[in-house]
Amino acid sequence: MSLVAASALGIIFAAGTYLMLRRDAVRVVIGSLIISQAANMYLMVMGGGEGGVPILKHHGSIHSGVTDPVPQALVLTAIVIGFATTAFLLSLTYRFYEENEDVDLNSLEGEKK
Amino acid sequence: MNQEIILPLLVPIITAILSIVFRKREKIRDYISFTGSLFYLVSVLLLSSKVFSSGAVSYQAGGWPAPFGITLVADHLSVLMLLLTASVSLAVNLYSWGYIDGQGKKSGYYSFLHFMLAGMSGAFVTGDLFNLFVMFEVVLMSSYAMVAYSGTGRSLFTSLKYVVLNLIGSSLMLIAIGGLYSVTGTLNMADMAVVLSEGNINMIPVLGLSMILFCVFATKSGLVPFHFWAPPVYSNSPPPASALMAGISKKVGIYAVVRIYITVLSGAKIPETALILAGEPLNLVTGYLVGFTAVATVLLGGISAVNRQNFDELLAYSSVGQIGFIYMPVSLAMISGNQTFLIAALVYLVAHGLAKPALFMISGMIERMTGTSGLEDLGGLSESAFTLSAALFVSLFSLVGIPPLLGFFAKMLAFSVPVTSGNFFLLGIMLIGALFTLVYSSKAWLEIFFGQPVEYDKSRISRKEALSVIILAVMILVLGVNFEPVYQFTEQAAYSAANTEKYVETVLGGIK
Repeated sequence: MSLVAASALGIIFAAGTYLMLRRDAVRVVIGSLIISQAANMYLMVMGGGEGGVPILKHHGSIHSGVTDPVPQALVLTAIVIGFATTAFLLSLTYRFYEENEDVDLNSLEGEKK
Repeated sequence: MNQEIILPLLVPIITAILSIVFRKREKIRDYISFTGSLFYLVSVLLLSSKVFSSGAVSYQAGGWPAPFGITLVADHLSVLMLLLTASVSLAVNLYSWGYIDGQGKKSGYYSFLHFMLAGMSGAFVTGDLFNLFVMFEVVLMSSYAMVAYSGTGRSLFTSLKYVVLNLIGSSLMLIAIGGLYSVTGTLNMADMAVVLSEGNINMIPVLGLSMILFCVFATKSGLVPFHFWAPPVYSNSPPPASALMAGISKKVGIYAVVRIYITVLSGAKIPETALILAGEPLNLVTGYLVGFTAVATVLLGGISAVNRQNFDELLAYSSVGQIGFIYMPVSLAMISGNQTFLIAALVYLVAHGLAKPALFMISGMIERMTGTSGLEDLGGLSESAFTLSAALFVSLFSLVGIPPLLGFFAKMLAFSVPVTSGNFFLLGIMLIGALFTLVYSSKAWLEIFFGQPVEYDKSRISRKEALSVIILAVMILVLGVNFEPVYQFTEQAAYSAANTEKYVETVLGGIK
């Protein structure tokens, strides 16, 4: 099970990194979105199994039968932050497109100065 | 309960919300924002007097006892950072009052400024690792807007790169924090320090995760090789915003390194099964890492600043280089465990945190008066604007380290650290870095002050901008002349950073 989860996470991270290295600004945005989602998923996988609930017994000891709620609370916060950042990033990309009539990042790099 | 701790967080948030509501009311929006930063200073002073009279204090949000709820902690280190932030933010606010045009204020400039302050104060007082992440995000969200503020192609491009970079940084930070939680079973920094010093957990993941966390903090504070975002961001933001970012939000990264590595992770040990350095403290590795990156930062920042032909870019690269000077004593403090070395880092942090905002704001004024910031095109400032030249002189030469300015004591203490610990390699690098600082500062000074006088259109700036840089210049001068209290304060801050037991006792109280 953990092998499946780990390889799935690896593939998602790889896909995000690949998209992020594109010249197209929209793909870069999607790539960064995928990476931040992969980080969230990583947290879910880490806390998905049975874990030590801090209220019951903290300091990392396994308390069987209960899923630790803290990672889920963390992911919820991270999703909201990621959502806001992505919304900003998308509007920034649109503004970038309006200004340059192009979303190719390299074309702008050449114009500088 | 110590309600004062929450005030430096609440005041900027309330001011930011009021600034959104009244952003179209030309008559009152400036007063609201300025009063807000005055109240912020007052709230920080209230908290400081509390900490000075009764030592470090903690506040359990919502009444949930640590380590289950979110804890806010204020010790001398937090208060030092907050006082620096409050003084710089007051000057920045006054400067923005005059500098930012009506359109900018209408689109919510002040609210971004105050949200940034809220994030910074939150990062300085939080005692919870995940809360630190959230506060970092609050600072970042405001700075994204600041960078894209002018809306031209160049600043949009810079902002796009900056957001993507920090999104990766945030994901890494999330991974590191989640991993540390999974290993130690706690997010509370004090509780984590206890768990790590007991040593009943697997140290191997802690080693790796703390290094990921270090990469994130290095990105925030602009250490080489994570510095490349800083210069374009500073030269594309409006000067008051880059003053706040270069002056304070970089220091949030430094504060996090000091707090997390020196206070929290000081008890962590490298596992016995490791091939090298088995059983040594984790901070030995971090210390060397900080040291080498700081050396690269000082050299690269210095070299890049020397050949800039633009005052704005020169300052941006100089602020990369100066961060290295702050990190060098930190690295020696980590390696040797000698907390007195931290004093040098903190004094340098304060000196740089006052001088660099003043310089960025002066550069913005010069650019507005002459229409250019190219060093070749400037000259003869001393003849046309006396007070501005005086302020520029004080802040530029505080950076170089001329007595009796604050920068002199910062440089002196920083140099004394490698001498005391007998590390002559770092001493040599520091000397080279100081030489670079001298070269680029005198270059800027010669080009701007002497030479062919250019026309300065004084009607384009108001007294408010001038007053705000004078406030900072006077602070540099006064704190330099009257250095004894600054030293005592930073000494206490350094001790409270290194004294993990006291920190744990403040947060956990009777529980542990």
